[in-house]
Amino acid sequence: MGRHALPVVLFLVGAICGVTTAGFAQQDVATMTGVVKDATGPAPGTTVTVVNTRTGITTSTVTNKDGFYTFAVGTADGFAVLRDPIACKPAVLAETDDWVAMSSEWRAIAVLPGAADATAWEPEPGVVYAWEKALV
Amino acid sequence: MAVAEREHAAVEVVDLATTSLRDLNQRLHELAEMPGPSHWRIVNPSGAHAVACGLDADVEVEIDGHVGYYCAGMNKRATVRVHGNASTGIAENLMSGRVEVDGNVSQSAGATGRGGLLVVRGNASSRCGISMKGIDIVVGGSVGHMSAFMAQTGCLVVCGDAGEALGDSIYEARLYVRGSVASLGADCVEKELTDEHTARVRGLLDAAGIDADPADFRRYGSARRLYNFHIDNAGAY
Repeated sequence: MGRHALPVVLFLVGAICGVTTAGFAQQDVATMTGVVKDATGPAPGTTVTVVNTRTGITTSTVTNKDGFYTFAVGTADGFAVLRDPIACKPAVLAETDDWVAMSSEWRAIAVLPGAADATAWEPEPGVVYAWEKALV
Repeated sequence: MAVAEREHAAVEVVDLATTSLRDLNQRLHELAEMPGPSHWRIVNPSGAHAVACGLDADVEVEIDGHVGYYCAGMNKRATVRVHGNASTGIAENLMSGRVEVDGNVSQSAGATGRGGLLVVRGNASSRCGISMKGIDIVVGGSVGHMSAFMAQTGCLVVCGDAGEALGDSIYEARLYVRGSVASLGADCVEKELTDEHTARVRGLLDAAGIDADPADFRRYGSARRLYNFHIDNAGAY
Protein backbone atom coordinates (compact mmCIF):
# COMPACT_ATOMS: atom_id res chain seq x y z
CA MET A 1 0.00 0.00 0.00
CA GLY A 2 2.99 2.24 0.52
CA ARG A 3 2.20 5.85 1.19
CA HIS A 4 -1.38 5.64 -0.03
CA ALA A 5 -3.14 3.62 2.57
CA LEU A 6 -2.54 3.74 6.26
CA PRO A 7 -4.34 2.39 9.21
CA VAL A 8 -5.33 3.82 13.07
CA VAL A 9 -4.29 7.00 14.88
CA LEU A 10 -1.31 6.86 17.16
CA PHE A 11 -0.66 10.19 18.75
CA LEU A 12 1.86 9.98 21.52
CA VAL A 13 2.60 13.51 22.57
CA GLY A 14 6.25 14.23 23.06
CA ALA A 15 8.75 11.97 21.44
CA ILE A 16 6.60 10.49 18.75
CA CYS A 17 3.50 11.35 16.82
CA GLY A 18 1.79 9.20 14.26
CA VAL A 19 -1.27 7.59 12.83
CA THR A 20 -2.39 4.07 12.24
CA THR A 21 -5.65 2.63 10.92
CA ALA A 22 -7.26 0.71 8.16
CA GLY A 23 -7.79 2.77 5.09
CA PHE A 24 -5.94 6.04 5.20
CA ALA A 25 -4.92 7.74 2.02
CA GLN A 26 -2.40 10.50 1.70
CA GLN A 27 -3.77 13.74 0.38
CA ASP A 28 -2.15 15.90 -2.22
CA VAL A 29 0.98 17.55 -0.92
CA ALA A 30 0.73 21.30 -0.61
CA THR A 31 3.45 23.81 0.02
CA MET A 32 3.47 26.33 2.83
CA THR A 33 6.31 28.66 3.62
CA GLY A 34 6.95 31.24 6.27
CA VAL A 35 8.93 32.02 9.34
CA VAL A 36 6.78 33.99 11.75
CA LYS A 37 8.10 37.54 11.92
CA ASP A 38 7.15 40.92 13.23
CA ALA A 39 8.58 44.29 12.23
CA THR A 40 11.86 43.48 13.97
CA GLY A 41 12.38 39.99 12.59
CA PRO A 42 11.55 36.44 13.78
CA ALA A 43 8.82 36.49 16.39
CA PRO A 44 9.45 34.11 19.29
CA GLY A 45 6.50 33.13 21.43
CA THR A 46 3.96 33.65 18.70
CA THR A 47 1.05 31.22 18.68
CA VAL A 48 0.36 29.71 15.27
CA THR A 49 -2.97 27.96 14.80
CA VAL A 50 -4.00 25.59 12.03
CA VAL A 51 -7.72 25.09 11.44
CA ASN A 52 -9.23 22.15 9.64
CA THR A 53 -12.08 23.99 7.93
CA ARG A 54 -13.95 20.77 7.27
CA THR A 55 -13.93 19.39 10.80
CA GLY A 56 -13.36 22.61 12.70
CA ILE A 57 -10.51 21.02 14.62
CA THR A 58 -7.73 23.44 15.48
CA THR A 59 -4.17 22.83 16.52
CA SER A 60 -1.75 25.39 17.80
CA THR A 61 1.94 25.67 18.41
CA VAL A 62 4.20 28.40 19.70
CA THR A 63 7.23 29.59 17.80
CA ASN A 64 10.56 29.34 19.52
CA LYS A 65 13.38 31.85 19.80
CA ASP A 66 14.16 31.63 16.12
CA GLY A 67 10.60 31.88 14.96
CA PHE A 68 10.72 28.36 13.58
CA TYR A 69 8.06 25.74 14.06
CA THR A 70 7.25 22.09 13.53
CA PHE A 71 3.66 20.93 13.33
CA ALA A 72 2.51 17.40 14.00
CA VAL A 73 -1.27 17.53 13.83
CA GLY A 74 -3.41 14.56 14.76
CA THR A 75 -7.16 14.59 14.40
CA ALA A 76 -9.86 11.96 14.62
CA ASP A 77 -9.43 11.09 11.00
CA GLY A 78 -6.06 12.33 9.93
CA PHE A 79 -2.50 13.25 10.57
CA ALA A 80 -0.33 15.99 9.11
CA VAL A 81 3.22 17.23 9.43
CA LEU A 82 4.71 20.58 8.49
CA ARG A 83 8.23 21.85 9.11
CA ASP A 84 9.32 25.44 8.78
CA PRO A 85 11.24 26.44 5.65
CA ILE A 86 14.64 26.41 7.35
CA ALA A 87 14.11 23.03 8.97
CA CYS A 88 17.03 22.98 11.36
CA LYS A 89 15.26 20.86 13.92
CA PRO A 90 15.64 17.11 13.48
CA ALA A 91 12.61 15.21 12.25
CA VAL A 92 11.96 11.82 10.76
CA LEU A 93 8.83 10.35 9.19
CA ALA A 94 8.32 6.63 9.01
CA GLU A 95 5.63 4.67 7.26
CA THR A 96 4.52 1.08 6.93
CA ASP A 97 1.37 -0.46 5.52
CA ASP A 98 -0.17 -0.15 9.00
CA TRP A 99 0.95 3.22 10.36
CA VAL A 100 2.80 6.45 9.85
CA ALA A 101 4.77 8.15 12.59
CA MET A 102 6.87 11.25 13.14
CA SER A 103 9.55 11.86 15.69
CA SER A 104 12.67 13.89 16.20
CA GLU A 105 14.70 10.70 16.15
CA TRP A 106 14.45 7.12 15.01
CA ARG A 107 15.08 5.92 18.56
CA ALA A 108 11.45 6.71 19.44
CA ILE A 109 10.03 5.00 16.37
CA ALA A 110 12.14 1.86 16.58
CA VAL A 111 9.90 0.36 19.26
CA LEU A 112 6.83 0.33 17.00
CA PRO A 113 5.82 -3.02 15.52
CA GLY A 114 7.30 -3.47 12.09
CA ALA A 115 9.50 -0.39 12.41
CA ALA A 116 12.52 -2.19 11.04
CA ASP A 117 10.79 -2.52 7.69
CA ALA A 118 9.32 1.01 7.62
CA THR A 119 10.14 3.51 4.94
CA ALA A 120 11.82 6.43 6.68
CA TRP A 121 12.80 9.87 5.48
CA GLU A 122 13.32 13.39 6.74
CA PRO A 123 10.32 15.57 5.85
CA GLU A 124 11.18 18.38 3.52
CA PRO A 125 10.91 21.97 4.74
CA GLY A 126 7.73 23.89 4.01
CA VAL A 127 5.91 20.83 2.69
CA VAL A 128 2.62 19.64 4.19
CA TYR A 129 2.46 15.89 4.52
CA ALA A 130 -1.08 14.77 5.27
CA TRP A 131 -2.89 11.49 5.61
CA GLU A 132 -6.62 11.07 5.97
CA LYS A 133 -8.84 8.08 6.53
CA ALA A 134 -10.05 6.74 3.21
CA LEU A 135 -13.50 5.32 2.54
CA VAL A 136 -13.35 1.53 2.59
CA MET B 1 45.43 -20.73 10.24
CA ALA B 2 46.75 -19.83 13.65
CA VAL B 3 44.32 -19.31 16.46
CA ALA B 4 45.08 -15.60 16.61
CA GLU B 5 44.46 -15.25 12.89
CA ARG B 6 41.17 -17.09 13.12
CA GLU B 7 40.07 -14.82 15.92
CA HIS B 8 40.88 -11.77 13.88
CA ALA B 9 39.11 -13.15 10.80
CA ALA B 10 35.92 -13.95 12.69
CA VAL B 11 33.05 -11.51 12.73
CA GLU B 12 32.52 -9.99 16.14
CA VAL B 13 28.79 -9.62 16.66
CA VAL B 14 27.56 -7.03 19.15
CA ASP B 15 23.87 -6.83 20.04
CA LEU B 16 22.94 -3.34 21.17
CA ALA B 17 19.77 -4.77 22.71
CA THR B 18 21.96 -6.41 25.33
CA THR B 19 25.20 -4.41 25.17
CA SER B 20 25.50 -0.77 26.12
CA LEU B 21 26.58 1.72 23.48
CA ARG B 22 29.39 2.86 25.76
CA ASP B 23 30.78 -0.67 25.97
CA LEU B 24 30.59 -1.10 22.20
CA ASN B 25 32.32 2.18 21.42
CA GLN B 26 34.95 1.56 24.09
CA ARG B 27 35.81 -1.79 22.50
CA LEU B 28 36.01 -0.19 19.07
CA HIS B 29 38.21 2.62 20.38
CA GLU B 30 40.61 0.13 21.93
CA LEU B 31 41.35 -1.20 18.44
CA ALA B 32 43.47 1.90 17.90
CA GLU B 33 45.84 0.67 20.59
CA MET B 34 45.70 -3.11 20.36
CA PRO B 35 44.75 -5.66 17.69
CA GLY B 36 41.30 -7.16 17.78
CA PRO B 37 38.56 -8.40 15.49
CA SER B 38 38.82 -6.84 12.05
CA HIS B 39 35.18 -7.34 11.14
CA TRP B 40 32.30 -6.30 13.38
CA ARG B 41 28.57 -6.67 13.01
CA ILE B 42 26.28 -4.55 15.16
CA VAL B 43 22.68 -5.65 15.45
CA ASN B 44 19.62 -3.96 16.96
CA PRO B 45 20.97 -0.40 16.79
CA SER B 46 17.35 0.83 17.08
CA GLY B 47 18.29 4.39 16.25
CA ALA B 48 21.01 4.71 18.87
CA HIS B 49 23.11 7.85 18.60
CA ALA B 50 26.88 8.00 18.10
CA VAL B 51 27.25 4.38 17.04
CA ALA B 52 30.81 3.56 15.98
CA CYS B 53 32.07 7.09 16.54
CA GLY B 54 35.72 7.97 16.76
CA LEU B 55 37.18 4.81 15.27
CA ASP B 56 40.88 4.80 14.41
CA ALA B 57 41.65 1.34 13.06
CA ASP B 58 41.61 -0.64 9.82
CA VAL B 59 38.41 -2.50 10.59
CA GLU B 60 35.05 -3.05 8.95
CA VAL B 61 31.91 -2.37 10.93
CA GLU B 62 28.54 -3.48 9.59
CA ILE B 63 25.44 -2.08 11.26
CA ASP B 64 22.20 -3.93 10.65
CA GLY B 65 19.39 -1.42 11.06
CA HIS B 66 18.74 2.29 11.41
CA VAL B 67 21.06 4.53 13.40
CA GLY B 68 20.55 7.85 15.17
CA TYR B 69 22.63 11.02 15.20
CA TYR B 70 26.33 11.29 14.36
CA CYS B 71 26.98 7.67 13.45
CA ALA B 72 30.62 7.08 12.42
CA GLY B 73 31.56 10.61 13.33
CA MET B 74 35.26 11.51 13.37
CA ASN B 75 36.07 8.19 11.74
CA LYS B 76 39.66 7.41 10.76
CA ARG B 77 40.65 4.46 8.53
CA ALA B 78 37.67 2.26 9.34
CA THR B 79 34.90 1.26 6.96
CA VAL B 80 31.43 1.63 8.48
CA ARG B 81 28.40 0.33 6.59
CA VAL B 82 24.88 1.13 7.72
CA HIS B 83 22.31 -1.29 6.36
CA GLY B 84 19.42 1.04 7.03
CA ASN B 85 18.86 4.79 7.39
CA ALA B 86 20.91 7.30 9.34
CA SER B 87 19.82 10.40 11.20
CA THR B 88 21.48 13.78 11.52
CA GLY B 89 25.21 14.09 11.01
CA ILE B 90 26.25 10.73 9.60
CA ALA B 91 30.05 10.69 9.14
CA GLU B 92 30.35 14.12 10.66
CA ASN B 93 33.97 15.27 10.55
CA LEU B 94 35.06 12.14 8.71
CA MET B 95 38.86 12.13 8.65
CA SER B 96 39.57 9.10 6.45
CA GLY B 97 38.15 5.68 5.69
CA ARG B 98 34.73 5.04 4.29
CA VAL B 99 31.14 5.29 5.46
CA GLU B 100 28.29 3.77 3.47
CA VAL B 101 24.55 4.01 4.05
CA ASP B 102 22.11 1.82 2.15
CA GLY B 103 19.09 4.00 2.89
CA ASN B 104 18.31 7.68 3.42
CA VAL B 105 20.18 10.08 5.66
CA SER B 106 18.98 13.15 7.55
CA GLN B 107 20.49 16.58 7.49
CA SER B 108 24.17 17.55 7.72
CA ALA B 109 25.57 14.32 6.30
CA GLY B 110 29.35 14.47 6.12
CA ALA B 111 29.42 17.88 7.80
CA THR B 112 32.92 19.36 8.15
CA GLY B 113 34.48 16.13 6.86
CA ARG B 114 38.20 16.39 6.19
CA GLY B 115 38.82 13.23 4.18
CA GLY B 116 37.54 9.78 3.31
CA LEU B 117 34.45 8.82 1.37
CA LEU B 118 30.78 8.94 2.35
CA VAL B 119 28.38 7.00 0.15
CA VAL B 120 24.62 7.42 0.53
CA ARG B 121 22.61 5.12 -1.71
CA GLY B 122 19.29 6.77 -0.89
CA ASN B 123 18.54 10.45 -0.48
CA ALA B 124 20.31 12.95 1.74
CA SER B 125 18.37 15.71 3.44
CA SER B 126 19.33 19.33 3.85
CA ARG B 127 22.86 20.66 4.38
CA CYS B 128 24.58 17.59 2.99
CA GLY B 129 28.31 18.33 2.98
CA ILE B 130 27.97 21.55 4.93
CA SER B 131 31.44 23.04 5.47
CA MET B 132 33.09 20.00 3.93
CA LYS B 133 36.87 20.28 4.08
CA GLY B 134 38.18 17.44 1.96
CA ILE B 135 35.66 14.65 2.29
CA ASP B 136 34.20 13.14 -0.88
CA ILE B 137 30.47 12.46 -0.81
CA VAL B 138 28.52 10.42 -3.35
CA VAL B 139 24.73 10.43 -3.07
CA GLY B 140 22.79 7.96 -5.19
CA GLY B 141 19.58 9.94 -4.78
CA SER B 142 18.94 13.61 -4.18
CA VAL B 143 20.13 16.17 -1.64
CA GLY B 144 18.08 18.78 0.22
CA HIS B 145 18.38 22.52 0.53
CA MET B 146 21.58 24.34 1.52
CA SER B 147 23.79 21.40 0.60
CA ALA B 148 27.52 22.15 0.39
CA PHE B 149 26.97 25.37 2.31
CA MET B 150 30.43 26.97 2.79
CA ALA B 151 32.01 23.87 1.30
CA GLN B 152 35.77 24.28 1.19
CA THR B 153 37.37 21.28 -0.51
CA GLY B 154 36.37 17.82 -1.63
CA CYS B 155 33.71 16.63 -4.05
CA LEU B 156 29.98 16.24 -3.70
CA VAL B 157 28.47 13.99 -6.38
CA VAL B 158 24.68 13.92 -6.54
CA CYS B 159 23.07 11.41 -8.88
CA GLY B 160 19.61 12.88 -8.37
CA ASP B 161 18.50 16.46 -7.80
CA ALA B 162 19.71 19.22 -5.51
CA GLY B 163 17.47 21.45 -3.40
CA GLU B 164 17.47 25.21 -2.95
CA ALA B 165 20.65 27.24 -2.46
CA LEU B 166 23.17 24.62 -3.51
CA GLY B 167 26.72 25.63 -2.64
CA ASP B 168 25.85 28.84 -0.87
CA SER B 169 29.04 30.76 0.01
CA ILE B 170 31.12 27.93 -1.41
CA TYR B 171 34.91 28.00 -1.41
CA GLU B 172 36.78 25.45 -3.54
CA ALA B 173 34.74 22.27 -3.22
CA ARG B 174 33.52 20.77 -6.47
CA LEU B 175 29.88 19.89 -6.87
CA TYR B 176 28.56 17.52 -9.52
CA VAL B 177 24.81 17.07 -10.00
CA ARG B 178 23.17 14.80 -12.56
CA GLY B 179 19.61 16.03 -12.10
CA SER B 180 18.05 19.41 -11.56
CA VAL B 181 19.22 22.11 -9.16
CA ALA B 182 16.37 24.03 -7.54
CA SER B 183 18.60 27.09 -7.15
CA LEU B 184 22.23 28.00 -6.60
CA GLY B 185 23.32 29.77 -3.43
CA ALA B 186 25.32 32.98 -3.21
CA ASP B 187 28.53 32.87 -5.26
CA CYS B 188 27.87 29.37 -6.63
CA VAL B 189 27.86 29.06 -10.41
CA GLU B 190 27.84 26.37 -13.04
CA LYS B 191 31.25 25.63 -14.49
CA GLU B 192 32.58 23.71 -17.44
CA LEU B 193 32.82 19.94 -17.08
CA THR B 194 36.20 19.00 -18.53
CA ASP B 195 37.84 15.61 -18.99
CA GLU B 196 39.60 16.10 -15.66
CA HIS B 197 36.25 16.44 -13.95
CA THR B 198 34.55 13.52 -15.68
CA ALA B 199 37.52 11.35 -14.73
CA ARG B 200 37.13 12.44 -11.11
CA VAL B 201 33.40 11.75 -11.15
CA ARG B 202 33.99 8.37 -12.74
CA GLY B 203 36.49 7.48 -10.05
CA LEU B 204 34.10 8.45 -7.29
CA LEU B 205 31.15 6.62 -8.84
CA ASP B 206 33.29 3.52 -9.22
CA ALA B 207 34.44 3.80 -5.63
CA ALA B 208 30.83 4.12 -4.54
CA GLY B 209 29.68 1.23 -6.71
CA ILE B 210 27.09 3.39 -8.47
CA ASP B 211 26.45 2.91 -12.17
CA ALA B 212 26.09 6.29 -13.86
CA ASP B 213 27.61 8.12 -16.80
CA PRO B 214 29.95 10.92 -15.65
CA ALA B 215 29.11 12.87 -18.79
CA ASP B 216 25.54 13.29 -17.53
CA PHE B 217 26.66 15.45 -14.61
CA ARG B 218 26.97 19.23 -14.46
CA ARG B 219 29.63 20.92 -12.38
CA TYR B 220 29.13 23.77 -9.94
CA GLY B 221 31.66 25.73 -7.95
CA SER B 222 32.66 29.10 -6.59
CA ALA B 223 32.53 32.27 -8.65
CA ARG B 224 35.05 33.63 -6.11
CA ARG B 225 33.23 36.91 -5.84
CA LEU B 226 32.92 36.73 -2.07
CA TYR B 227 36.60 36.14 -1.32
CA ASN B 228 37.24 39.83 -0.92
CA PHE B 229 34.87 42.41 0.42
CA HIS B 230 33.08 44.38 -2.23
CA ILE B 231 30.36 46.81 -1.32
CA ASP B 232 28.11 45.56 -4.11
CA ASN B 233 28.10 42.13 -2.47
CA ALA B 234 27.31 43.41 1.02
CA GLY B 235 23.95 41.72 0.97
CA ALA B 236 25.51 38.33 0.33
CA TYR B 237 28.08 38.34 3.13
